[in-house]
Amino acid sequence: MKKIHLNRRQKTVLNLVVGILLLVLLWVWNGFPILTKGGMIRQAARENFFDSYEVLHEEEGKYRYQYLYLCSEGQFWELRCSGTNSFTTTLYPSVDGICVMPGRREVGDLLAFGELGEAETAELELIFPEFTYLYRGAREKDLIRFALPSLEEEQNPTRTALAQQLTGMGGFQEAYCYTLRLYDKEGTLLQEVNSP
Amino acid sequence: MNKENNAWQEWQAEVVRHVRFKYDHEAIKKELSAHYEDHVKDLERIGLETEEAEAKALTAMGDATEVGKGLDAAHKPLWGWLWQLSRVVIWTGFLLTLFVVSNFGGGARLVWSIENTFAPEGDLGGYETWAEYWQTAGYTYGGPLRQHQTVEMGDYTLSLVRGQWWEKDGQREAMAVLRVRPKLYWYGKPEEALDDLHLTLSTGAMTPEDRRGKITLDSSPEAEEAREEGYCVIGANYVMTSSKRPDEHFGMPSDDLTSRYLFLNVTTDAAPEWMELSHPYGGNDWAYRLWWEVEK
Repeated sequence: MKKIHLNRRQKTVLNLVVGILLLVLLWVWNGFPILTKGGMIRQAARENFFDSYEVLHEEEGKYRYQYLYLCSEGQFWELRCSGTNSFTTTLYPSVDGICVMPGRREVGDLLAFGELGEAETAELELIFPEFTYLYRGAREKDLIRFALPSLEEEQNPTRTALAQQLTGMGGFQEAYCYTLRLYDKEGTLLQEVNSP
Repeated sequence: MNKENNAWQEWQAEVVRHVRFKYDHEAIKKELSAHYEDHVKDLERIGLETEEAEAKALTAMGDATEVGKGLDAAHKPLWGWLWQLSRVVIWTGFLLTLFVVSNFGGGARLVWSIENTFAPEGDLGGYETWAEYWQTAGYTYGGPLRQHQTVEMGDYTLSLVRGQWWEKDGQREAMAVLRVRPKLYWYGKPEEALDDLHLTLSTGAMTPEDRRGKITLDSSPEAEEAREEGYCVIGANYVMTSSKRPDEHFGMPSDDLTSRYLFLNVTTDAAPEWMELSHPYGGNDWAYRLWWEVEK
């Protein structure tokens, strides 16, 4: 059989082609892992039957998990991920285009997204069977953040009970009953929203 | 040849001095030596003394600087380095592939999918086995399940492969093998969304408000309990219950190269005309209806 002679340039190109084929083989063998964050979000949206998505906010939570807050076709949802691995998606109901979701920066944080209009501050009255708790929130770009007061500010049993409620229950969307009031800069009530 | 031929050594050194890609120096020297030695031997064969033959052969090799410049043009450093790099890449790639293939079983899914595509099992979903079971358990065959139409769930299409229902003392058992076909093979199985599906019967016996209407994937911990309580269960891993490997079907992906397969099992004491699967969130305004046809 005639031996094929390749020059250095041809050998290099051949090696690169073989290298690319090996990479593709590894990718396929490992079950088509997602390589980019955008790809991971697209996959999560696709697997929840959404055609599109908008990333509203992102924050880091416990154990260095990243939490992405997204909106797809009017549906608000949260994606817990680490790097390019997604773990869980949780869907949350909205009322009048506004959705309240748990924040992940600190225990007890809650975030309001959606059609917040000119609202600069807000009150969120969480209603539990045994007690109610009134949060006060402030505008941060496209969201309103409600945070528990720090221990130095308020050392009372209500805070402990609330923290237990917030961390002990499985899903915020099923656990809470709330009334959200949005206020403008001057403190005028703009809108009141009751949980679904 | 005289091993201490200084003139030849100097000529070689002068040649490679002009070649910038140093990794090729030894190979070039070897190649030039072969030509030179062949020429010396030819000259000796026709009667020249060794020293004279070496001198003539060296002259015939030409000007060292010119030869060196020519060889430098043929051994450009850029391609030299790229070639060396590509060799490293290829060897690393081979070793990495060997390591991954021998240590990680991810490819089993691919192999399984290929096998399911080109040599599919005859009794998809254990359909015939189930039929035999219901018959033995005293159930009467009710009729086939027929889909109203396939539905598009985003980038997936849901359709019916086959389905049937059985009846005994007012209790009805329906089972269907469903196909979830992604637009592209590497789209994963939409497990979380499947777990959120709701089932509604025409009789209203199972509704989203009634928790019994919620689908439970067989991979979730609640599945067994749900099964016992007569909930509807979607089995993601029970479809390819290959008779060829009866002991291996648990946990094996029910995939082929085009689709993922699901096994839907519904227990009800009502007599529905149809049942509908739907996704309760967002803009997923589709409902997948299966008619419970009555065998005449």
